[in-house]
Amino acid sequence: MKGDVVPDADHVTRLCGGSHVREDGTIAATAFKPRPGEAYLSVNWLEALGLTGRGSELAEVRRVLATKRKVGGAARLAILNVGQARHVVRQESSARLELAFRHEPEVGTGRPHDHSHSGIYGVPEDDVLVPELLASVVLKVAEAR
Amino acid sequence: MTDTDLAAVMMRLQTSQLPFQARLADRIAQLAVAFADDYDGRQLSIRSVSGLIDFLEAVLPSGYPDVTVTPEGDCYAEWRGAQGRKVAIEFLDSGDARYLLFRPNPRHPQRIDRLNGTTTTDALAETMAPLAPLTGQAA
Repeated sequence: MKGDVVPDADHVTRLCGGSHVREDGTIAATAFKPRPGEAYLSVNWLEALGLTGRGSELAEVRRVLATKRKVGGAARLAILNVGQARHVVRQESSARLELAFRHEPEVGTGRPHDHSHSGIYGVPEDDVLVPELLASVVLKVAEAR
Repeated sequence: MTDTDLAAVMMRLQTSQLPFQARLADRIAQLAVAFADDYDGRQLSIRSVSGLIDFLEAVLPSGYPDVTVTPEGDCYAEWRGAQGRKVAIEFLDSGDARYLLFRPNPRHPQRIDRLNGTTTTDALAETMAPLAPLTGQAA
């Protein structure tokens, strides 16, 4: 349901375009910098999909993303644990920021449905540290298509 | 950045004294394509790319930086060193630069200090030199 808090034990994926992927395949902080005016960083809540196994969840995220936008060959999915991401930002950011992960399902008419779509709220626009902290807790990187 | 601008940057890189000029030129070309794919045909900031090259020429001999692009089209360069050292610099289109340093605390080396700030790109070399020498650091 829209606005639901994503539990700390759960996981999200962030679609990282090829311009945010380092030469060694790891994810740079640039993948976690908001665009100007962006209210939240878009992610997909894996457990909300109700599937069994990470492989099935990732396959579904890939399928849904492909219906919404062009996904480049160099793009990757970064997997994060919600609690770990919130904890590192709370502990290490200078203002002890509290990030919020909230469900933002896209199920309106006239556009592709994305039931697991969620947002990371609270990442400052002009900050360099919080994106670095988020990139530092990426658990796994997977193909995005 | 137009194709002409990109060609001019590549030419400048190729005539520079940077030891990794060809590799960096390839990387910037690759990022220009990837960024256009990621952001509906938008182009990299030529001023940001130029700022990166200016800085690299000013801090020779730095190691090869790991470069990616911010959603605003600016270059983001990273270097890593021993004991958790890291330098990250965002070269803004405005001519400013945001920097972030991770380095061991001089009195408590097991603790990693973080310093960040903003300066003009043309003053970066002087600003960074006492904080984080880039010699021996690389992507």
